[in-house]
Amino acid sequence: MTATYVLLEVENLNIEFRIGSEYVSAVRDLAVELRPGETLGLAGESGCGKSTAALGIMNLLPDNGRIRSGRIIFDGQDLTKLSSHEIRRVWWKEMAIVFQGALNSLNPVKRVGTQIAESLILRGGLDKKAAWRRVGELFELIGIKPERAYDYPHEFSGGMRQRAMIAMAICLNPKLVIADECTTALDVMIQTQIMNLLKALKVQLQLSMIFINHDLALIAEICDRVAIMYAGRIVEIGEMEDLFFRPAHPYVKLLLQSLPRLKGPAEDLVSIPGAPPRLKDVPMGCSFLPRCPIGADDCSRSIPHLTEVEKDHRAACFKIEKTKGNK
Amino acid sequence: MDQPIVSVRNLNVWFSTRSRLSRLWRRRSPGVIKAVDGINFNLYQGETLALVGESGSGKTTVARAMMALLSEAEGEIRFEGRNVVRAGRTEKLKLRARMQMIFQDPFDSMNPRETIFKIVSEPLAIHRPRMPKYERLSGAARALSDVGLLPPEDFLFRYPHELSGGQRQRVLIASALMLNPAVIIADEPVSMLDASLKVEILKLMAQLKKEHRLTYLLITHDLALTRYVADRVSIMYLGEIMEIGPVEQVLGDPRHPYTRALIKVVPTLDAVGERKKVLEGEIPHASNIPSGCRFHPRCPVAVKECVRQVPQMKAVGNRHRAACHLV
Repeated sequence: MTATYVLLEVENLNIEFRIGSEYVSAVRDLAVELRPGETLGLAGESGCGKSTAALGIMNLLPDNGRIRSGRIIFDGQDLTKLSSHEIRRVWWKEMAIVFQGALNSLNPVKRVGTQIAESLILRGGLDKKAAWRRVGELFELIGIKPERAYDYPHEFSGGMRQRAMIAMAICLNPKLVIADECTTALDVMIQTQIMNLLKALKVQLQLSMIFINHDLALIAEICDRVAIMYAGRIVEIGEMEDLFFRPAHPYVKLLLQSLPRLKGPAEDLVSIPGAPPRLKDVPMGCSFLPRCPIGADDCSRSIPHLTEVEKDHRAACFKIEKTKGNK
Repeated sequence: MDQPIVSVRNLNVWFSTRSRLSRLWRRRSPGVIKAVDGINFNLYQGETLALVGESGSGKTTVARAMMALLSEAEGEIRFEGRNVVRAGRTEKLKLRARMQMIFQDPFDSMNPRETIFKIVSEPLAIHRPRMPKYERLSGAARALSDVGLLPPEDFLFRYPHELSGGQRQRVLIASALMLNPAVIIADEPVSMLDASLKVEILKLMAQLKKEHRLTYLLITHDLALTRYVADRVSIMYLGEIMEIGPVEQVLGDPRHPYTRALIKVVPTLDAVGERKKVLEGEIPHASNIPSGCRFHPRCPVAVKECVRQVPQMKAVGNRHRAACHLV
């Protein structure tokens, strides 16, 4: 590991939800690092825990969710130890989140600019005039004419609303932005516009980002490093190119083969048999075993740990460890 | 394959927005929204035709007109000897039995308080009200096993919330097959599903197509998917078809600048790292269709002629046509 400064360090994070009288684990032993200016992709099928992980890092878990164990070291302080009062100072100023449903996140009866200005006044301590000047700058940055700041959310198209949400997220210059499925409800053309905007902001503002998406093609486009989750655990993590071009985990291999391509032979797409386990009954040992094409009986004995397949590229699969050991 | 099962000629769907209220406000209302504006195409027996476009392009409106769900439709939709547009009440009922629709959202299109049996057999309750219950029951069981929900007795008396997203989509497909339709219109059937599930549902649809001799009209915004499932693809923009032809030709040798732009923004792993050129702005509102070629304000290669003259569909290859002055 290099000795560079780490902005976010998540150690053995376990998140669980109370359902009825029992607790169900949604995120298990999550460990990631994020360096400044880096974009980490978090991908996996729905229900794999990627959004829960993000909410956990932000300390935004719903009432029935809780962090059972683990540490979230952000910029030198452990977020899990902060009180709800202290965490408020971190939100938006230090780290911000952009959600999927931009329409539901904006107040329909307030002008879009007002909503951003309010955040600048309340949290940033700007006066009204300075706040509106900043709103103008932000609109310029996200590619909307500044005079549209006086519009109401319903006068914005879906793409513009998502841009406004991004403006709100970056308005106080946070060190970390979490983008949770932020392009999912949008059209391909608008989706590409938003992706281009995020890419530009990433360079311009030196943003560190956690980019959560179920679309691996979008992840590949923007991320420096990628973590693939399955049933609450990271099963493979590595540099984007390494992971996409030399996937090691059988799940990741299959996942990549299930993506439609525009070029090359139109051979049959692969689907992974079965479905991801319900969080209530994750199988013993390797949770992918029931669907795994190369799984063996002994995979159910213990949980595979992330082991290095090449430099900065780790996967959690017993079969890889063995082939490596043979060499 | 050469026999059109549905032929659409000069189909217009214009919605009027003039209401008493808007007159009261003395607001200038846009008047007419041309959601579908003079569309022609054939759907051939046994094929899968994909209808692709951004949201607001009118693709769903075409589907709804074909299902005789829109009183605003004008023109001709010939299906099994009848003109759908002019069909009366009883004719419509007969027609909908022969042409069924599958919707996007397997969560919203089911009544959460009805059992799977009730949902699947609903078409029978409407179209064959006199059928005894045991026959409906066996019909529903057969339909469920057709779509791979095995054993069907395990599913018949469960409720939608007990099923996964993929299973729910299977239930909707089973329900659509209940009356042995000739044509299935699938409106974004997999866009809410994970990559691997997507492939599974599309494979199921392909298998059912063979077994039940179906013809599909597949509405989607995912151009990359069409390569794997469709025979022909038709690209819509703002209520009109821009290009239509065999999938390999349209994707391999796109002739319309809009098609080219759409292909460029498809997120796939083939283009990782490439800078995506994206069309500026958004699709104009259908109440304010640009003059000449409706794509000209966003077209990267538009010339003077495009502003004045509406381009006609021209043959550009074998069964491949495009509406652009420059082809």
